[in-house]
Amino acid sequence: MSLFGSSSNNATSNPSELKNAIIKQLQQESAMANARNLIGKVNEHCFNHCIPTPGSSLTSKEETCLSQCMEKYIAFWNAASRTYLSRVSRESKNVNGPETLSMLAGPTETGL
Amino acid sequence: MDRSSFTSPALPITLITPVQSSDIPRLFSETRMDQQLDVSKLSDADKKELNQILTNEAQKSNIQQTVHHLADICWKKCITGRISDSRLGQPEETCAQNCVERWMDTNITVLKHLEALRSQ
Repeated sequence: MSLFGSSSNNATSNPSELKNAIIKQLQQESAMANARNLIGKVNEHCFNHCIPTPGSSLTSKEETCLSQCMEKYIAFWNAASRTYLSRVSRESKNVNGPETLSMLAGPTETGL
Repeated sequence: MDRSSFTSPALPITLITPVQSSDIPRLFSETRMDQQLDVSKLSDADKKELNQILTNEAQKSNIQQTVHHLADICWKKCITGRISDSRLGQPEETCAQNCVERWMDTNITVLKHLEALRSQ
């Protein structure tokens, strides 16, 4: 994409480039927010799990536990995500009427 | 989240890609928040398209929030022993699935009961 020169400094000159820049930034920030959230949860859960009694320094055992816990949490998150998404698409397929739909909106409204 | 998002068949499930642990460092280094963008230069069609994309991103973000919440509560229920493997074991995966499914059942049951109470 070097046809128009460096796009990072002058991306706003052309409307379609501007649009793409906005979309890119939007998606990046959204992905970033999701990653921050995930890291926060990893910190919380893995600290609880791996460091029950904080010592004067991190032991190698704790460190191993933390990296295993982190990878496991991400795998767990993905499993929860897959299950939730397939359930939501299953529920929206067997629509029995407007009340079913309004019920489906419920879980996501609770959010965090 | 507004209700219309679930009535739409175009639920952007495909947009939600699994998280790769290798993506996270890259994300932190690539994301630039300081860029200034002037929206006033855009045409109406572009604005409309952006609005649609924004709505989709918001919906995706909502779903991800729910998944964060679910992973949070189900982790507490499913991962109780020592962690000795970085991969997710079969019993753990099954527990995650059951936990999410029963959480959804709970939501629906509560709402159904609420409907019943309201129509009494």
